[in-house]
Formats: sequence, C-alpha cells, structure tokens
Amino acid sequence: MTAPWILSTTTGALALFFFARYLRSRRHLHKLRTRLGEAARELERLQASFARFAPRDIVEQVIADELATGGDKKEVTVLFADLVGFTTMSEALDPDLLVRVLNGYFARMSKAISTSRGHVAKFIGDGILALFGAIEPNPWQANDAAHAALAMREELRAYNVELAAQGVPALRAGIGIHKGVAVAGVFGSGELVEFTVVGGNVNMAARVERLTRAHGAEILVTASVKAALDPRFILRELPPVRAPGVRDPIATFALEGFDAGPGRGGLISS
Amino acid sequence: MAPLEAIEWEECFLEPVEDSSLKSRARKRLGVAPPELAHLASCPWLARSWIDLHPSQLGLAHVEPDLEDLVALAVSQDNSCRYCYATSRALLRILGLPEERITRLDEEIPAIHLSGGLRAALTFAKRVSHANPLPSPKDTLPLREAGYADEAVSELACLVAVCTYFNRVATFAAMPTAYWEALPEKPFVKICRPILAFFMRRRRRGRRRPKSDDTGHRHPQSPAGGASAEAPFACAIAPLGHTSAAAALRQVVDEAWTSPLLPSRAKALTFAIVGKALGCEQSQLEARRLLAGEGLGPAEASEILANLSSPLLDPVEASLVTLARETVWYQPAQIQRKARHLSNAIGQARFLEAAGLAALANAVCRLGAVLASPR
Repeated sequence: MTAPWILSTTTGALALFFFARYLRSRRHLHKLRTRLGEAARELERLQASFARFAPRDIVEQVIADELATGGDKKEVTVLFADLVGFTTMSEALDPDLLVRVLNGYFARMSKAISTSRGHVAKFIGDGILALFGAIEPNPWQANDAAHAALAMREELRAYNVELAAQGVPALRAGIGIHKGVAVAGVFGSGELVEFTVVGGNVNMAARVERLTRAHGAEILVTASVKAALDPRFILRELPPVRAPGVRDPIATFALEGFDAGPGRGGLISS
Repeated sequence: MAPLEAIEWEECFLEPVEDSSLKSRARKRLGVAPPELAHLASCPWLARSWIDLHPSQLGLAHVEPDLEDLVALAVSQDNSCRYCYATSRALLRILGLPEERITRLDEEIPAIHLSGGLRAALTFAKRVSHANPLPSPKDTLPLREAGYADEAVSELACLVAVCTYFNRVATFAAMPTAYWEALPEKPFVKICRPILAFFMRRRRRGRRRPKSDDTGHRHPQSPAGGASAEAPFACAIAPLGHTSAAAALRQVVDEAWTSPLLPSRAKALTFAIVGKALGCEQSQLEARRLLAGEGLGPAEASEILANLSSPLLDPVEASLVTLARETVWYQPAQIQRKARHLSNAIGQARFLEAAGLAALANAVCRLGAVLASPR
C-alpha cells in the first residue's frame, strides 16, 4: 500500500516539477523571443532613421559588411554655408547662449535645405555642407540648391529678428554653390563612419563661399550651376577672382532672387 | 511595434462613391469586391485598373504564384505602402503561411539571405522598385544568370511595374488599411481559412487561361497588346509581346489617355517628368512626341522639363508637374498631405486621375527603362 502510494506521489511530484519547469522555460523562451523581436524592430527603426541620411543601399551595405568600401561617382550640387564673423562673436557670447544660437541656426537652415530636397551631409564648426542629388538621382539638383539658398537667406532674416529681440547680434551667412562630379560613399573607420562626397568639386563650393566676402554677396554660384539654372533666377555676373589652391580665377555669379512670374505656382507647394 | 504599424499613414481623405457595376466586375474577376474600391470610383478608369491590373488578372505564365506574392510583399515594403503590405500579408496568412514565417520573410528580404532564383527575383524587384541607382536593362542580367528565360524576365518586370503602380495609387489616396490589417485575425477567416485557401489556389490555377473582357472579346493578340505603334507608350509595352499582361496594361494606358477629366497635355507632361526622373530615354522621347501632338514645341517642352515650371502652364498643370516629380521617391505621410491639399484644390475626380497617371507613369517608365533594347 505504501510503496505504490510513494511511487505515485513521487511520479506526480516529478510530473508537476517538470511541468512547472516546462512552463517556466516556455515563459523564458517567449520573453527571449519578444526581446529578440523588439531588438530586430529597433534595428529596423534605426535603419529607417539612418536611411534619411544615406542611400538605403549603402545603409544595407554598412549593416551587412560593417563598412562599405565601394564609392560611386555622381554628379552632385554642393552647397556650402558659413557664418561670417562668427568666431569673433562666439568669443563674446555666453557658451550656453552660443550653443542655443548655433543650434537654432542649424535647425532653420536644415529645414530650408531638406524642403528643397537637399540633405545636410555635415556641420563643420559653424559651416554647413549640403548635397543635392547625392542620395537620389536628381536632374533638377541645381535649381533645388538655388531655391534652398534663397530659402536659407529668408530663414536667416527671420531668425535675426528673433535674435535681435534677445539682444544677440545678427548672424550673416555666406553661401557657395557648385555643381560637378564627386565620389559619394561611406567614409571613416570602425568607430566613426559617415556618408559624404569627396573631391575637388566639393572643395570648390567651400572656396566659392569664401569669395562671398570678397564680392560682398550673400550667395554665389559657379558657371556650372548657372548653366543648369532656371533662367528666372536673378543672377549678377561678377569679375573672376583668384582663390587659394586654384590655378585659374573663379568666375562666379551672385544669386539675388527668383522672379516667379506666372506659371511657377501650382496649387500645391513644391 | 510591428513594422506594418511603423509606417506613418494619413487618414483616407477620399469620399467613397458606390458603383454597383464596379462591384460586380470586381466580384466576377477577383472573387471579392475590395471595400476601398469605392474610394477610387469617381475616376472610372482608375477604379477599373484596380481590378484589371491586379496581378492575378495579368495571366502571368512564367512567374509562379508564390513568387508573385513575395514580389508584391517586397515591392510594397520597398515603397512603404502600408495598404499593399497589409493586403499581401493578409493573402499570405490566408494561404496558410504562419505569421512567424511571414515576419521572417519580411526580415530576410532586406538582408537577402535567400538563395538562387528567388533571391535574384527579389533583388531585381527591389532594384526596379527602388530606382536608385536608376533602373536599366543591366538589372535583368542577374535574372538571366539565375536561369530566367526572356519571357519570365519580361513578366517579372511587368509584375514589379504593376506593384509599383498599386503602391502609388494606394499611398497617394491614403487607402484605409484597417480592414486588411484585421482580416487574418477575424474569427470567420480563422475558421474558414483552409476553405478560403482552397478556393484561392483553385482560382490561381485557372488564371493562366487567356482572359476575356466584360464584353466577351478576347484580348487581341497583336503587338503591344493590340495597339498600333502610335498608341501612347506602345514602345514601353511592346517588350511584353502578345501577352495578357501587355493587353491589360495597354487597355489601362488607353483608358487613362482618353479620360476627359484632365487634358492630354497634362498627362504627357506627367509621363515626361517621371521619365526624366527615372532616366528612361524611351519614355521621355515618347512623351515629347505626345507633347508635340498637343502643340507644345521641343523648346517649350525642354523648358518645362528643365525647370518644372513655365508661364505656359496653367495652375492645374503646374500642380501636376510638381506632383509628378514627387511620386518617384517619397515619404508616404508627406505625399499624402500634399495629395489631400491637391484633392481639395482640384476636386476628387481630377485628383484621382492625376494620382493614377503619376502612378501609371512610374510603372510604364520603369518597365521601359528595364526592358529597353538591346535586351
């Protein structure tokens, strides 16, 4: 009587024990699956976010190969903007205020650039390097860059009104735009990688931006940009000027505005 | 958060219009009348195309139905079309694929951990849909290397083009997704799933027979689906040869062209701009030919295409030119907000025609770019 009772009790206890263990491991497995799913979705979200800054193919390549090694020659329009006299101003401003002023400037300029289908490749100090036609093929990249520059000028004017109310001196930006072939790709080391373009044409945009001071103009474009621009952009030809690192004088045109006239405005904003 | 729900999607802004003939056409052809069809009914050709261009109606003889479903899923995923993504997932669930397997498929497609012909086909679908880098005949080479015959390549290109068409129409119209997202979880569907799957598979098996139109006529078996070389974009459809897919696409392009809602010049401009954005030389030449027929000279056409604006354009055309450019690469919610604005400005019927034309241009120009000679 006792032995069968002990046997059945032990078997029952063991069954209960293993059933409990089974339930616990199932719960554990479910938790692991949920975490794995969450991690996969988080990665997907990160990938989607990163895709805003680099071509999706390149994002996938980076994820698959850790670092893409291939480059791609592309015709791009490069816009380089820099604040004039900001170094002097930054020495006079409180650091917190300086960061706030600069971040406000970057936010407004970035919005103007992205609205015109450009993308900010990087901030270099108080400078902005923006690209048009680098992420997606864009046959209208020169017009987009010129519209972006005019929108940036308007945004800066509005921002200066806000800054004046806070007693901050007005910001003044110079913008240079150049169009040409550059190598686009992911550059960097294991710790820091970025999608950008490199080449003489990228440096040219920065050199043209420097010439805004010499010419007393806010926005300068090169002949390659002018050739691709809508004739309704108002341009003023400037005398060619030598720039450091360039053998021949650079011919530039001051971009002063856009005469929309009839036919520009549709029923939806571009 | 499931990937499906992560896609930002606006509320549908189109008023449904009940059309019993459209419903019966859908039931006859597809076996079911999708509830969203009513949202497209104010533009008759667009609503009919929703039925006639459905992949099950294309009579694809060289693409297996399972591959067809995966291509539809991959393309909708690439275009972030929540509606098409939901319909593809619902279809796969009803056909018996467990949710877990579908999720794995979703995750595997981008990483391309698939092998052989399937991998080549899905990579091709993504490349043509994504169009960055621009699609070209070179994209078909890996398919041929994987053993796909010319006919299969053409059919796959057509399938991808049609999927990009559906994705765009659904996105621009912000088609409601709730029905399709909830469908696989409905008790009725869960209980009857094996029966539904049986009937769906049987319908698929029968689809390879040449189909008849509503009047009982067979689609003509002449070049480019029965059109002369002068028909709009016959050159892009010609590589599909004597197939039902060519005939279906031909019919939709013709109906879109003869629709009275928007002027033909606006239609040709839409195709010209999408063709330029996608780098399709053939489509650009054809669009210029059609523009010349509408009295727009080469210099004037060049000015519009170079600057996307001109004093020659009226406000509606100027809007369509802007919209056309936006339809190649876009964020769904952003373009849906613009679409709502345009619909309010020009009216639902004309907006639907504009959206349908832009979607059709994206399909035809992709097809033209990929299947252009030399093949």
